[in-house]
Amino acid sequence: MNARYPIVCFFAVLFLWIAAGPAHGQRLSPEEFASQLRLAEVYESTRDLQNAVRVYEKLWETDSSSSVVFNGLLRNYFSLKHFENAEKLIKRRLSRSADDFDLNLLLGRAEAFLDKKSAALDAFRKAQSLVPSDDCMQLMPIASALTDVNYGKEANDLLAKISSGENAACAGQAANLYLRLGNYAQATKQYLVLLAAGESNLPIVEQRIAQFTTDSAARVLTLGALKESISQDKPSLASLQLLAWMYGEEKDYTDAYDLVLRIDSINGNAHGSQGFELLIFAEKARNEGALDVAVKAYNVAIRRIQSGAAAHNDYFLGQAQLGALMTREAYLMKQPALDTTALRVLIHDYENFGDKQSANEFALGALVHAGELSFHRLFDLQRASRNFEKTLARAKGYSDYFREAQFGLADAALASGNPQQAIARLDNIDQLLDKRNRLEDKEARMHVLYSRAIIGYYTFQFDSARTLLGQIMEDPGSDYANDAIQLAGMLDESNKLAGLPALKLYATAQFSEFKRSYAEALSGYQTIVDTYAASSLADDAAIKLAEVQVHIGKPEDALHTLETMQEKMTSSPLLDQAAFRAAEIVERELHDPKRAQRMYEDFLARFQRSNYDTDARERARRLRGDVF
Amino acid sequence: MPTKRIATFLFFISTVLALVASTPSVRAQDKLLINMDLDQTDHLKAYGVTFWALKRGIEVDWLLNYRGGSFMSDYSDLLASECRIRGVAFEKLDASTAQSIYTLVQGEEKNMDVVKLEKAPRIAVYVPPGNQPWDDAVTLVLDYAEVPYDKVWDDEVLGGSLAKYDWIHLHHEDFTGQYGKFYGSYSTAPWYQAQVRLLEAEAHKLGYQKVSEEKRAVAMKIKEFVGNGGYMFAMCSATDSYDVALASEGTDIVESVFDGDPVDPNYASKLDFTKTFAFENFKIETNPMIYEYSDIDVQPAEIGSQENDYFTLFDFSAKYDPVPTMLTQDHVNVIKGFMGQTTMFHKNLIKKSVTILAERAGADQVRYLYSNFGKGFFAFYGGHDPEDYQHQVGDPPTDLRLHKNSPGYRLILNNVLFPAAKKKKLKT
Repeated sequence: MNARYPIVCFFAVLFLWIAAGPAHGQRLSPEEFASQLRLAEVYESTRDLQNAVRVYEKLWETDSSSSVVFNGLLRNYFSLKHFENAEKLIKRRLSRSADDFDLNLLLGRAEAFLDKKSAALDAFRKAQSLVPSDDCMQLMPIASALTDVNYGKEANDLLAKISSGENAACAGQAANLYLRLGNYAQATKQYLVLLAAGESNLPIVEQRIAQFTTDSAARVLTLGALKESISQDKPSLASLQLLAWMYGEEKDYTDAYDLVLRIDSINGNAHGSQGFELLIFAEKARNEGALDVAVKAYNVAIRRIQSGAAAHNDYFLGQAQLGALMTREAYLMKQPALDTTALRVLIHDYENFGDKQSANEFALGALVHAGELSFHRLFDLQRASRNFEKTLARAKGYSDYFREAQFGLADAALASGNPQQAIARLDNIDQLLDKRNRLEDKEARMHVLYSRAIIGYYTFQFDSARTLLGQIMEDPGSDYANDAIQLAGMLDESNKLAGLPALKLYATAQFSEFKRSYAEALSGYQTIVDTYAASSLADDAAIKLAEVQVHIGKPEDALHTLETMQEKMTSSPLLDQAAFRAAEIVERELHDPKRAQRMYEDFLARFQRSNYDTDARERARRLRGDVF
Repeated sequence: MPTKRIATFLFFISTVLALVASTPSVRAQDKLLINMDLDQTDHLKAYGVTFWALKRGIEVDWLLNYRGGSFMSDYSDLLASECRIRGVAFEKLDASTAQSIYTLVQGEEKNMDVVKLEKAPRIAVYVPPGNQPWDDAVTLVLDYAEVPYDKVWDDEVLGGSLAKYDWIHLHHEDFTGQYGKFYGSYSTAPWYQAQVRLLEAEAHKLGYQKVSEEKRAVAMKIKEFVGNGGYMFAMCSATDSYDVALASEGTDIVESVFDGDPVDPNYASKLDFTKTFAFENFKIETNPMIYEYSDIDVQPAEIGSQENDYFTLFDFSAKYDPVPTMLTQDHVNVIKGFMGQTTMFHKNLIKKSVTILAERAGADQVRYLYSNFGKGFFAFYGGHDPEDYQHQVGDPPTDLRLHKNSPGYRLILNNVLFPAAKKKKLKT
């Protein structure tokens, strides 16, 4: 025997033992495996992908049959763009199951990312050969993968094959992929197939188009494709509705209106409900501020509904007529100067409508509108009260309109100088709310409390008013909380022996303002400024005085008031407000831009870190001619 | 006669006194200090006011490292009014207070110095026509700070117009001719296709067959501009794509999906790193599906979570290294990070001659660097938008009114004023 033989054997065994070392040295118990797997998942979830890969690779060496480990490792390879490793991993797995559809898809993706187009397409074709050629659902993942890796031509070809059967089950997915590929014409055709399968698919189609066309260029192209598709074939109702929706998304209400006219005719002829589509469109246009279009749509809707004989026509007619009135109101309010003649006509029309309308809901709405316009815009308290009373008479139980009418009557009573009647109205509301005893009435209760507090304040019952305000302040979420805090602060400061005369004068002046007795209000504020200059209300009174002077068309007086206030009340915390308002009066009432610019600039020099700084700066620059 | 002399003397004295009394209350020596520390109300507009002053011939001193890099000039009502109207905080200082500040800043024991800013630099921003579906942080901040600039593009650069400017800015650009490497994600997007058409038309118009060739020519022209004394500031992908373009002169690194012919199989051996500005020994990413130009850029996985992403500005000697000191003036020295197509640079790929201005502590990730080339300077700043951590295609632009004290944006504006500095002889 050769003496070297045992030595060679020894080294061969040693070599084999070392080579096998990683395999048997690394075997993990199930608990260790689970623990390492958990560690890998934690690394992955904290985005420490390098360590995640390290642990997954170790686990893979231990157990290459584990799908969890395979998926985890592959996922992280893709995230780290280690596409070569991903490719090797998938091929290793494929060597055991060559006809696995998912693995072939994954291989296609990996090779695409490695820019090996030919190999990638082979893998995708292999996947395709593993599924029935007419099963669009099974072919869709391949089309999706081709889209993901930007093989646009191949994706389009496959989608063309998939969608040739006009299978509505796949139309939605095909359309989405076409959109991603920028093939808006085909996407549109597929959405139309989906719509042809059922008009109830319209909301889904709208949602998907909205999702994929977030940039304006894509929206324009989709709109163009849809218009072209519809012009070529006889369009279905749903496709016209889709196009009208797209116009709405583009805020093109004029084109949308023309289409809705058509839709309404088709729908109306089919179901005998002419005017209904136009009504819905008019409501939307009005809410979006497209008032010109809304007016036209309402008018046509009213004509069509009147000529129809469908059930509930009266209801829709009422809705359309009220909508038309509200559109006119919105139009009037947008004008720079209020046309009181047109306003009176509108109020009259609201009242007529309310009197004649059979549907209660709309009648109440019209009467409340009439009442509020009469009160706030014309200050015709009698007319306002009349309309509110009619609302209450027609109302069958508590509703929003009922509540608004009650509060409207309380305000009207107070504005006519009758606080007792106002309180009686508020008592009515309280009783109704007590009977209902509902949580959603909380804000209405706050409204009642605040109104009572204001009445108390106007009638010098300052302590009672303060108590009521305190209750409101306990709920910072209430709409009335801020006003309550402000009024309470004023009462706390001034409701003392020394400050009482000024406080009473101030309350009286504010009440006069509320009653629109401006001469009395002016006199009251002026007295405070002149006689009670040392009171804590003097600066507030000066600012209020200026506001009333502006309101009655005396801006020069208002300016003088504010300038005097700044000269005499040098320690007032409202100096910045006065200075800013003075500049604003010069700009907007006296129309002297140069002077206003100087005043805004002076303001900036005098007041650093005022709340009015940003506005003053913006206005000064605009008046200076700076271009933004 | 003595009476006559006394009368003349008295007359003379009263005239002098009258002159003194009539002197305006603002004395010529009063100064206006625009502090740039945490008390400043609008840091970004402060640069704009300084620029505005320079344009009007008002000399401004930049007090390096004093209260965040403050600006001082002679007080005038005009300048004070402009500060107020732009919302920039300032202090009016009498002569002796101002002098004591100068003494402090110029003292040997303090790492501070005074740099005179002479004249407003002429600024060009390299930007293609039309709107891009992403924001440009530099034009955003220049617009906000109201610093005027001209837009230039390939026609102007290749036509030699850069000579009119002191400073050129590049943001999210691709000088390699690979259309921003958006192919993998956006090749079917209408904006991308429009961009391809625009770039190809421009290349053909200027006499180039390929966009890559034309863009390389633009890169070379910019290099020439810097070499002749110009200043270049680049952010985001303009940084590494610029050097990739320079290094790959004489070879083809662009795949056929972009230019119709394949990559030169030997491109890697033909890269010439002596031609680049800042980087060397990098590997180019030629795969059109990958949204990178090279391995210069630090990957998101290397950065980790947003909460831990900060970078630190280095301190430099204001007296002996005024240039990097100017470029790093800020009111904080640890700044939150932000990503971009090119976010940060791997340190080992940066040339030794380049000065690193800011990096991520404890990592090989460099955020901001500068160096000189020929008679000029360049600075590279990684990331896309300092106040939008991960700005995506289609995202709305950042509203700088909400970030008027942004330390990240200040670094961009330091580069705007830096060319205005009077060159000072270094002490020996």
